[in-house]
Amino acid sequence: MADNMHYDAIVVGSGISGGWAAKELTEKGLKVLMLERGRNIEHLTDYVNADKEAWDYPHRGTATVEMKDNYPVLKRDYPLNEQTYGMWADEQENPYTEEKRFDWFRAYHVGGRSLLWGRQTYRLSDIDFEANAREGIATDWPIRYADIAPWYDHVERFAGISGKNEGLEQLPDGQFLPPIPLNVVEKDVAARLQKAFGGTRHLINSRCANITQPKPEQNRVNCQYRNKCWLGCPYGAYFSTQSATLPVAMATGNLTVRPFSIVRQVIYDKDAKRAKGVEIIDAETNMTYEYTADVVFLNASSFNSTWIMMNSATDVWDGGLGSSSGELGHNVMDHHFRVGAEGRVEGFDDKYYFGRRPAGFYIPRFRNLGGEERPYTRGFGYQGSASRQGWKREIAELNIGADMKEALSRPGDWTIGMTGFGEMLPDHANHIALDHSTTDKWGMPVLKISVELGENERQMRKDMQQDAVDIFEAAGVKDVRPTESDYAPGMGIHEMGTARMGKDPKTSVLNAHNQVWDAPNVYVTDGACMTSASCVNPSLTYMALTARAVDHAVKARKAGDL
Amino acid sequence: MNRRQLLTMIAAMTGTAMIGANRAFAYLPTETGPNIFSDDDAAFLDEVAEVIIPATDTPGAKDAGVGAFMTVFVSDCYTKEEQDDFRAGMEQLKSEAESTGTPFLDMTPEERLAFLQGVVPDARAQAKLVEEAKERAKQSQDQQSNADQAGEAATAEMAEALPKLHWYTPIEQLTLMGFFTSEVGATQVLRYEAVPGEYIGDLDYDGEPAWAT
Repeated sequence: MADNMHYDAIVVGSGISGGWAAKELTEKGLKVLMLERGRNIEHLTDYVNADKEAWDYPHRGTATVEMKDNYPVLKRDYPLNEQTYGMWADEQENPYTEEKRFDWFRAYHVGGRSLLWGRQTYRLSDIDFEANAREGIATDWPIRYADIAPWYDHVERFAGISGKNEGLEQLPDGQFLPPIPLNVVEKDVAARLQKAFGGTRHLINSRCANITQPKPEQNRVNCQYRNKCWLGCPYGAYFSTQSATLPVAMATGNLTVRPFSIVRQVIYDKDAKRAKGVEIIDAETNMTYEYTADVVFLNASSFNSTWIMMNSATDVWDGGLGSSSGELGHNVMDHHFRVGAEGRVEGFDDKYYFGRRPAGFYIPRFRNLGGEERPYTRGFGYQGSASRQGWKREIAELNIGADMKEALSRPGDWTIGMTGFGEMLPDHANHIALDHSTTDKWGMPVLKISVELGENERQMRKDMQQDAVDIFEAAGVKDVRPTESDYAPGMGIHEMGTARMGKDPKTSVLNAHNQVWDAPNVYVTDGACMTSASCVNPSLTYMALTARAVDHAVKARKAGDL
Repeated sequence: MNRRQLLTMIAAMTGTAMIGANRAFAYLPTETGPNIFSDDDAAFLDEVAEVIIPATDTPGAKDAGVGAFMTVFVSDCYTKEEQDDFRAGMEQLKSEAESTGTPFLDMTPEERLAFLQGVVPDARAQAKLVEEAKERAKQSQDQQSNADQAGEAATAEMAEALPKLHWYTPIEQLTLMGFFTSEVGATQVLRYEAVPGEYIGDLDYDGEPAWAT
């Protein structure tokens, strides 16, 4: 393998934040090595299912018994299906230990979960950034909205976020492409909601990373409303590493990508108090290699970035690089969800729709704002949609034969449903640690995970259900039913924390620029860095923090501070 | 923007500096395993499915190959126990039909419809019982796991005690799924637009078929 062993910067991971790190670093002229533990996936040509229809799958999308046997964790929820099979981390090769149930849905390949994400993109607000300090919970964020706002602008303009400015304090406006439309029923519910709650609760267009206008400079075509995003979009219409950041990074001529590269540790120089580079295991040959660099960005996903740190510099700190604060691995968060309401909408039987949206509506947080004090702190938002029932509905009378066939071939009632996404508080007790008694295929200790919901989340879930019912009833929805299904931490696929940012090296792992306090040329800009979770989907914040951290790293390197 | 313009805009991106030339499928095709049913079984299931969704002025279950689909689905997606129940259900169907005096395959379409119509109320009632039992099991499991974490044996016992679905219900469910997700069902009975290109959320509706998805 005739590759260069020294680079200006190394980026570990190629998902949403890794792709951003590579793009920003290479655009600023640095020679970058991007390391990815899994295989490569080429944009477009490797999306082999993208044009398949339901009938092209022998089991019409359903997981087989063999698939379930191979993926005992993934089978707990929708990600295990025929369409995306092969896109999730092999659970036999990559086990982990659940001290308490934790659904860890991982994607180990170039692009990571950027190919599989839900694409909902919202900004955190100062209500979020100030919450820990205001309430004396965990530790204060070292930044405020003003620090990150220009970087939200920057990443939104490039990624292409559709949405609408609403002027809400709890959900800052942004740089949006035209929104994906609400349908006639959702608009009606939105209008009734405004009246019923005196303008304090809003049903708005979801904001998402599907472009509604072409981006010819990125070879990306606007969304075609097929709603097959998870199959890799042949139009490049949703933001992924492959569709957006990777091609730009490649075009600079400054990027080298090395798939099948499991980073075993950051190589730490205790005299210089800096990282020298990283040591990798080639996942295919089991050979180890060392790559050196001036700067290292860890973007391996929340838990895996921390796993790498735990395995690094253990001759200096037993708990690994970044553990001097005692917080490395702690304060795991997710968004708790799968509780809400649904119902039937009358009066629109003469209305239908065309096209399949990749997103629905959003109801931003409205609890514990403006001085309100519920029996819990923080809040939640709702995501949902309205549609007409299809062939899966029950028909009471015409239940067999030609009459049933005729009935099921027409659209049924309009229904509307939504689920809350709630903020989970950072709690030191919720943690990950190395499990030396279990090793992965490459002989590395795996993670053991110990996370559970607390009393604050349990109290919040009561409101998440009752408020959903109240909202629908106030909007005139009929037969409103509360909904709740099995939720376990991790299921939100928003795992955050374990290497939080903070103001003080005694209580945080990273500083205000995402630098590891104990190794300033190591930046961690994926979900690991989150000091609190907010209730909004987190990926946009990882993008913005990454771009901001790269800006800092490049300036600091030039100034000789790294 | 039309399809051709779209496609010309999408330039394939190659020429990347990539270490290691190994390539693997991104999305893995799922294979079908050994089919545990005979061709006669598939043909029989086709006949049953055709009663549930007959050809009218549009194609029916047989046109969509629903019988063969059921055999693949049960072979690959059902557990051994579910497979045994399904097969026992097919036999039950045959023997219940015979006890009316005519084997199912010898019945006229009208007789087949009347026969299956006759079991629908029982199947619905049984499905309701199963749902209720599941709900009770879930609640007791919740209480158990609240009380202590070692309730697994008790839960397994509970699952053992769950009543089984009526034989008609899996056949009915697989018929509906197999038909409406087939190309025939989705495009000739329902409507399907592969590349809608836009979303219109406020369209006047005048009795057209429903969208397949």
